[in-house]
Amino acid sequence: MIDIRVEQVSKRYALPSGHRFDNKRFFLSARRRQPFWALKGVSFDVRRGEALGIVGPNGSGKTTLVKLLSRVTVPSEGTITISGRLSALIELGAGFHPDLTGRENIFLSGSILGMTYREIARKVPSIVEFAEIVDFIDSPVKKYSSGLFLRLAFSIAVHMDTDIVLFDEVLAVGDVAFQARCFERVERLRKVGKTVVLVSHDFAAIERICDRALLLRSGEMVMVGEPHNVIENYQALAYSALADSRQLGDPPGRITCTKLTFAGQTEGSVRTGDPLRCCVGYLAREPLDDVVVTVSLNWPSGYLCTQLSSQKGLRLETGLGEIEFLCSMLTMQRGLYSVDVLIERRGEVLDWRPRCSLLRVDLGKIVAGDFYLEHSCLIRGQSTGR
Amino acid sequence: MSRGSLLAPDRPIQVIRPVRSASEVMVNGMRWLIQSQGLLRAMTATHLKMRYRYSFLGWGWALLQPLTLMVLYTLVFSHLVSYRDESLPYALFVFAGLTPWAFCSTSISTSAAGMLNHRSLMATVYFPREIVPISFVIASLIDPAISSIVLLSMMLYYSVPIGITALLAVPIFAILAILVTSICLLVSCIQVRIRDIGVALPLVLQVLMFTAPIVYPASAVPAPLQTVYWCNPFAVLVQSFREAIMAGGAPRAGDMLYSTVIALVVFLISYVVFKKIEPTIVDDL
Repeated sequence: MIDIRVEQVSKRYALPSGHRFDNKRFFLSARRRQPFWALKGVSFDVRRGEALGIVGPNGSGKTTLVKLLSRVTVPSEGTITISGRLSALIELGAGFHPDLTGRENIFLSGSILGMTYREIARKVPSIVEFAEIVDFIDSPVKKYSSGLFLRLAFSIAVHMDTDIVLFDEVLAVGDVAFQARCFERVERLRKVGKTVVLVSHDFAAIERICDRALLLRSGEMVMVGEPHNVIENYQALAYSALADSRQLGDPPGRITCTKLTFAGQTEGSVRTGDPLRCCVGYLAREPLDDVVVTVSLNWPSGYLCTQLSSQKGLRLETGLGEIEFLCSMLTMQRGLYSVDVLIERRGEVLDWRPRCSLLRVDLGKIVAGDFYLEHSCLIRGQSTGR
Repeated sequence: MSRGSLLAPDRPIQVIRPVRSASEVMVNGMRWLIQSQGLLRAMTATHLKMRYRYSFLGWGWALLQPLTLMVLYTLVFSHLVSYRDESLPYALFVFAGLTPWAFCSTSISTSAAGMLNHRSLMATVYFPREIVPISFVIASLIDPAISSIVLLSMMLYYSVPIGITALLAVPIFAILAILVTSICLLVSCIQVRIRDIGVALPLVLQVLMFTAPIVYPASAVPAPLQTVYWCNPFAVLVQSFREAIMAGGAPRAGDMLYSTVIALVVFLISYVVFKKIEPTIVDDL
């Protein structure tokens, strides 16, 4: 069964020209003002009980899509059909009235979602308990700390008895403990068969929660499919845009990194569990000693995963050369890693190339978690029971 | 496969697409509005709760405001303008006029600002947007309710007889409420795109007040202008209200019919306009 069907949906905004008398153009149709297409011909389905992740760079139309799905605004073209009640979490707590108390806001939010007074009253205790705001529930929300505010908003949203729940970049709020409970809650929503749509830059969350993901780029749908593939595609897109601006080899300094290659066991593929060879090509314009070369491999999230480093200072002669790093086993999980190269001497940076290349690790050894830990297993100290 | 077989029949189906015809707008809009009574109630309650919260005098202001105006107008107009309608004390006369007027001006000015005040709410959740102006109109009904108590006490004080025709004030107010709701719908949605309205509104309301017999008797209007003067449904309604309560005279059926028809026509037009603008109103907020 299909819960959400989006057919050839486009959204056009009229760009304000900034002219003072532009308001007169109110009487003109949007067609005649300068148009900007925030979404162009997007079509997809979401099945009942499915979780769909939406990813894409800033300005790719994610929020517009969410606004269309939640009926906040209507598409300029195309049709969206939704079966069931939908609650959307766009900007936590934006629907709150700052002067009302937490309790009054619960009733207001609930009635906006079409719940009756009695339905809401029944849910108040569990909303309050989940948000951990028992002591503050009767104070106006404008006095709340931002964490408190977010907890209440999230709690209201997940307690509303809707068939479809939409999250727009809201899971990454609150402290660690609350985040953990948010995830737990989302997983519970999924278990009871709710349909979930999640917009996030948090790839880990998308991979963990979603069955499918959709990649948007400048208003157009690039692909929809298995979350891991979609995220890899997205990263490749994002990194290629970054890497283009930083060609290896220039600008000339005392030493420049000219090339970076990775090789696995098999041709053209690097897999978890395989040996890895990494080559850094350089051009030195004068003899240098005490040089340290470091290759950093970063997680998709941008955090450092691990480093290859020459450790001891190397002596490099003038001219072209190559430094080779050998790893007996690549233990990293499959995925797309961005690579930084740093050449330095006694703390002085000679060449620094952030995100100059990509390392794609394919599926080899099956790894659950972040990396493979080399291990063996044997039985020890077993009594024979005689 | 047809759409029907894919989507579950057991749940309410919503179709979101560009606006089509006015008839579709009316039917769907009305249905949604009826489904959203709970929200209308909650939002009206919110306006009432918020009104005097954190103010020291609280609901005392609801009494103080009309009383102050009454005293002011009595001081100024009863002496300067020849008040020939000797049958009623001027204070009573002006208060009876101010009661329906305060309702009009409060509703219109609060609902005009209402859309912008509820910006963040409207940008994050969908609900029938007309609930915002309508809830402000309903919340403003509290003013005439409080004023009429004062009005009745004043009539007792001045020993003006209260007749059975005073009950006609209720249907008169209903017509007035429909008229005011239409204006609120129009003003609130157009104001989002043309912000000038928000600036001009206090001025317009001030002018509008003097087009109705509120602080002066209708007899003061020059004879050649009388026909034009009574075209204004506000003037008709204010006059009828006062007559029904004070003079014990039933308003003319023609007047009532005229203002009812005008109110309904204006309502229909403004509702369709509102519904046409509504779907994309958030884009301009």
